Amino acid sequence: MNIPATCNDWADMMRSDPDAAQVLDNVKSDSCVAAAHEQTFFQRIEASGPPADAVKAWDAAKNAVSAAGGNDLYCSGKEVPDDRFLSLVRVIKAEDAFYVVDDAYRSGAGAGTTFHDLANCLFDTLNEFVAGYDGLIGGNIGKPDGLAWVTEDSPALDALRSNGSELAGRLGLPEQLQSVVDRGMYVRVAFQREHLPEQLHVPRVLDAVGHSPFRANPDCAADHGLTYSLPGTAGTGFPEAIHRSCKVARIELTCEKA
Amino acid sequence: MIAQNESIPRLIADFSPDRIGQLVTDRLAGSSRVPIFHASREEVPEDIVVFLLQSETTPTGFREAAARACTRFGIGVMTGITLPQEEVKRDFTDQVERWANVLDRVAPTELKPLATGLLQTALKSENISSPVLDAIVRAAIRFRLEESDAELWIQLLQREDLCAYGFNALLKIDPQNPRIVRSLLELWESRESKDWKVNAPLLTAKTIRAQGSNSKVKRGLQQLEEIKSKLHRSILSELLSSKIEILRALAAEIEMASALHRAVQGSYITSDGEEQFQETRRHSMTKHAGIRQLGYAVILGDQTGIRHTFINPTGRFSSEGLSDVRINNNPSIFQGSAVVDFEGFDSIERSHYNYFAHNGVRKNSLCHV
Repeated sequence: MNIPATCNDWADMMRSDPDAAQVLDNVKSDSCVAAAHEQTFFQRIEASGPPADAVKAWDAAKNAVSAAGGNDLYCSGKEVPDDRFLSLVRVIKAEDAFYVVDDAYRSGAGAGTTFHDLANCLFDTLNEFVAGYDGLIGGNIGKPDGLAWVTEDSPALDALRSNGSELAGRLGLPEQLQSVVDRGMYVRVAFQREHLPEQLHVPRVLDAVGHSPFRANPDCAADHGLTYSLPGTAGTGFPEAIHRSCKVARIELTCEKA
Repeated sequence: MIAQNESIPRLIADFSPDRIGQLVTDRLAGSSRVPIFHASREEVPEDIVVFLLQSETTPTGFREAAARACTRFGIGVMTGITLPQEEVKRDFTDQVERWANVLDRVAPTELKPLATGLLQTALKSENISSPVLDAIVRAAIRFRLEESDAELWIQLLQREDLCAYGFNALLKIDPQNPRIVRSLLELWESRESKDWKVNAPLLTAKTIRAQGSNSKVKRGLQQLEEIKSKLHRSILSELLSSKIEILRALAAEIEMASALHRAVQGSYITSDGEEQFQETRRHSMTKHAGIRQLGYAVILGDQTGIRHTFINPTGRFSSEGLSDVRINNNPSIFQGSAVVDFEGFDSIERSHYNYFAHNGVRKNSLCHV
C-alpha cells in the first residue's frame, strides 16, 4: 500500500518505535489489499489527527480497521478454500481460559470463577475447569481483539502437544510461550470449521496491524497465511487463517501439560 | 501472566505520569488496544494496567498515576450504575468488565474502599444489569475474604445470579468450616428443585481440592441419603457421569460404601458373589455378631458396579484374613476394590492400609462407612 502524504505525521510517529515501524513496513509491503479498503484505512487515520506518540499512532491504525461496530476492514483477504482448515486450533495462556468460556459458565450464576483463580491455580484445578465446560454453549473465540487467529490442525502440530514451549514458539506466540514456561501448562482450543459461523480468510496486513511479527504473503492467490517461528524454536511455522470473533459451538477445551 | 520483574515496556518508558494516566483511562475505555509488551496479536487491553499496578519495575510515579486513573474510572462506574439503563453508554458493560478484570487480577489496596462501596451500592441497585453486577462482585471478592465478611457471602448464596461467587468466597475464607459442605448441598438442592444453573459439580470438585480430601463432602452426601434420598440419587447420578475424574471417584466410593451397607444388612447380594457372600455372612452372623463394629470388608468392583463383596469378620486384619478375600491368590483382583472399616477410616492400621496399597488397591478407593 502507498502511504498518502496526508498521513505523513502518522507514518513519522510509527517510525519512532521499532515495533510500530515494523507494522508500518508491513503496511507498505502488502500489495494485495483492495483499493477501496486501502483508501478507507488511510482516510480514517487522517481523520484521527496527528498522533502524539507511537502508541497513539499505532492505536489510530488499529482503530481504523476495528472501528467500533464496524470492523469492516477486517477479513478483507480472500476466503480459505472449503477443503482446508477443517479442524482449527488455537493455543492460549492457561488463565486466558477465563476469556474463552461462555460468561454464563464462569459467572456468579455458574462456576463463580475469577481470573485470579485461574491465574493462581494448579494444573488439576484448571484441568477440571476446562474439562467441566461442555462446549455446547460456545465461547467467544477471538475476544477481545475482534479477530481470531487459528491454525490448521495437523499431525505435526499434534506431535508438539506435550512440548508447549516449542508449540507456542512455532506459532509465533511470545506471551503464550512465556506463560507456558512459567506455569508448565497451556490451554488448547479446538473446533471444527463446520461449527464456525464466520468465514475463514487469508490474513492481510489490515488484520495484522496489532501484530508486528506478521509478514504479508506476497502471493495474492495464496490460500493461507503462515505463522513465523520465534527465535530459538526449531522448524517452521504452521498454516494460519483468521475469522471474526464469534461464539463457536462444540469447542474442545483441553488443559495440556507442557 | 505478566512476569513481576519484566522491565517497563519500551513503548511507554518515556511517558510522563499524566500520559500513563491517560493510557490507563484509554485502555479501560477500550479506545487503546495496541500491544505494548511483545507486539503479539492478542494482548488483553487491561494487561498493561495490571502490569503498571503490580510490577516491581514500575516507577513509583507511574504506579500512582495508574492507581489514580483506576480510581477515577471506578467513580465513573459508581455513577453509571445509579443511572437508568437507557441512559448508560452502549459499551458501559465492557468498560466495567475491564475495570473489574484489573481489580480481580491485582486487588490494589488503595482501591479497596471504592470496590467495597461499589459492591454495596450495586447489590442494592435496581437499575443495574446482570453482567455489570457480576463484574462488580467479582472485582470485590479479594478485598472481602476475612471471617467477618462471611455473612455477606452467605447472603449471596440465596441469589441465583451470584451464589457461586458467594460459595467460592466462603471456600477461600475457611475451606474446612462446616458451613462449606452445608452450603454446597444447599446449592445442589437449588439446582435440583429451583432449576438454578449453578455449576455445583465444579464447586464440589473445588471443595475437595481446597479441603485436601473428599471425606467431608462424602460424609455430607452420605448423610443426605437418609434425609433426602431423591436428591442424593440425583447428585450421585450427575457425579458419576461427570467429566471430572475426582467426582466420578467420589460417587463410586459412596456407591460402594452404600452397597456394603446393604450387603451387611443382607439386602444386597451380587450374582457373582452370592455364594461367597452368603457363606461369609453366615460365618459372621453366627460367630461374629458384632461385625458392624469390628469387621473389615472388601468390595471388588469398579465404577460400573460391584463385582464381589467379601467380609473379613475377625475384627483384625491379617494375612490370614486376607486369604479369605483373595481370589485364586491373585493380588490383581484387588484393583478397583474398596476397603471399608466400619469403625472409621482412621482406625485402619497403617500396616493394613499399606498392605492393600501394596497389593494394588488404589489409595483413594479406601472408603469409610
